[in-house]
Amino acid sequence: MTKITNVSLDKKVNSRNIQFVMDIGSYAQLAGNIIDNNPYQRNRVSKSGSIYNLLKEDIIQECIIPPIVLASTSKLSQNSSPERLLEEVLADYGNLKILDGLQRTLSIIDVYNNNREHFDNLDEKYLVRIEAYLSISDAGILYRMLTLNTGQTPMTLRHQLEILFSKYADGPFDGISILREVDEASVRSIDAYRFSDLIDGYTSFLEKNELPIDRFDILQTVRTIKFISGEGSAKIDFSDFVHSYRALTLAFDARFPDWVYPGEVDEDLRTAANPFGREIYKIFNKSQPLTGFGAAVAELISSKTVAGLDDVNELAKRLEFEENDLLRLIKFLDDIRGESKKIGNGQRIFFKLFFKYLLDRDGSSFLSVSESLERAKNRAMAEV
Amino acid sequence: MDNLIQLSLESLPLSYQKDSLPNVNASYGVKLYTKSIPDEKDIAQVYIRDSESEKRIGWMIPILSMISIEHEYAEDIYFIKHVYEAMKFLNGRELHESIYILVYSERLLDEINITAIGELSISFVPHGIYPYYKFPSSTTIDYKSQIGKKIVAEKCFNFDLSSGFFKFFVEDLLPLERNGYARFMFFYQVYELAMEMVFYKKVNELKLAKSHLGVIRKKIDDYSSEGKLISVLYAEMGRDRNDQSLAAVAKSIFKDLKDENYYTSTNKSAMLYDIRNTLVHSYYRYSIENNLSYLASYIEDEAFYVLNYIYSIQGLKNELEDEYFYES
Repeated sequence: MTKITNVSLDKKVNSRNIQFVMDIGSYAQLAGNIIDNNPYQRNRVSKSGSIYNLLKEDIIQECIIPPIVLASTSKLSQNSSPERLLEEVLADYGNLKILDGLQRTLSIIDVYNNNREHFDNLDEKYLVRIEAYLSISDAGILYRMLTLNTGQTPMTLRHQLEILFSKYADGPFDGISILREVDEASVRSIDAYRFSDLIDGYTSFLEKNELPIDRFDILQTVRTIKFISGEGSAKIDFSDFVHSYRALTLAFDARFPDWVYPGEVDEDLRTAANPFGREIYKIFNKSQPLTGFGAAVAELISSKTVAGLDDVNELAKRLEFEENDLLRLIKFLDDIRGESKKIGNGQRIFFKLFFKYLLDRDGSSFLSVSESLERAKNRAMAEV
Repeated sequence: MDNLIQLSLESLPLSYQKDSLPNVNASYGVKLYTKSIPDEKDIAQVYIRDSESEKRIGWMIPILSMISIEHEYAEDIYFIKHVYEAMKFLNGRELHESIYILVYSERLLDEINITAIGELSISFVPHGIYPYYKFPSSTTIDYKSQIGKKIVAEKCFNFDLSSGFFKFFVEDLLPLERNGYARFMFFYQVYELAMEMVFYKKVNELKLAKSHLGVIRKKIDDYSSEGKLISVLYAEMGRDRNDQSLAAVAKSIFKDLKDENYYTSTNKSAMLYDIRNTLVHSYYRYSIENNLSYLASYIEDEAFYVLNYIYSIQGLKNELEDEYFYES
């Protein structure tokens, strides 16, 4: 059974919120469908085992669990009654996500499945409190995810982004194919990306930090919330991020069509280790440049040097290249590699600096690939 | 919480998650080490010196390399095999980023008569790689040997069984002590201990050779001088020589208090003894601060060779094992 207890409008994220209760059996079934549909919601919040064991015992004793928060991105019919809307939302579980209460939900499913008879035969149904945000935007979901989860069980921003944007994994969109859970070797064209690399890049964009932060960092989350909240109408969605980055890589691809790393290279450009990439997509469709770009462009947006992600699309058309830019890029990455204790991090720092110098209107190397490479290399070598 | 790495199927690159050599069914083991300022490029094959030859027993792999595909071994099937085998022990563990993992073949250890992996506990000290017990290493490695594609090591006492001074030595001193003066003095204790053992060894040799009592008296008199005893120790070890890098540091301390000949011809044993005396008695007279780190690192490596020497002499080895290395 499902019963609505309140309907309100969240004016911050411009979404209707329906609060309701549902019997544990129905919720366990609904949640099972949501989780099966989104593998990124399955695990990974596995710490504090004893706390959750306690929660399981409490559920059997029919404790009151704080409301679980869901979000629906379904396109809903206008002017329907709340009851009708809720029915539509719950039926379309492919577009439902658990914003807050993932671990509680996993516990509920577990306890219910192990005690079905007990719960199904209760004289009075054991009810779970739930609220659902309706027709909420991705940015709104992200904002609410972060605000709801702040201070609770550590779930990294990256994990939350995976959950949120899992709809893009597997699917081609706007000419881009996104590959889920595959080796880097499977990326075989300028149009293909690994989902995890794009998530890395977008995480760096939101955190303004090119380095991976795998642990829960409350201060960073607060900064991220401010960033998302403060951008207002600026285009900062995941798809905007992907398109702006792609515009830059396509500019390189257009300037150096069918480029491959040559068999013979002048001594001063020769690398000590294997080249970072032997084709353009192998250089750019990777985590390091994506995270570097994410952090760089976020800093530039913050300092108002770049108006927004769509601004990058325009700048990409005006890039100035020189003949040896790609060989120098690879040589510089090799130099960074030699100096770095953590090679990937060193390369991320280099790419952040490169994109920052390249897109900074107030800088001396604005739009000049060659000069930006040189400046980035000199600075990165001092930092790694 | 800082700098911890969770080893799991999520953190491990996909290409390391499959057995790259499924037909190799050897038994493997792991031993954890720690190195301050870890470097994912520090991947090396480990060989053990065994009488005349060197035998490969496995790989030394920084934990940083296990979660990276940027290093040059990312596609090496033997490296991947060792990461794969290491994960059988380490999957799910959260470890400090300074951890280095020795992945070894049980069969190859047997072949060179290493009965317990603890015998390789201090084998990598010259590279700044210490056995990991309680603490990640935070000491300076500025003067340590670089790690190349191959490390040749020797077995020594089983520090996994250490007690007393050597338990403190391996669990606390090696990874944690950052004060160069303290570090130098602690390592000098290994010299003190070794000199005492060598003293008795030499006297016993005289006794076994039925030397004249007058000769024994004279020798005991000689060995009673610490300066001479340290030279005897080095002579026994076969490592005494003039070391120009140590001489350069000695010169920056003593300057023209010693004549030029001292710096070009004095053996390292005598020079170390002079430096030790200066540190103990006249530290305030000289500007030694800038050299403390070098000296501590130098004597640390020398203490390592002293322990290797003791381990190589059966009688001395037994004596030290009875006192400091045993199953509790």
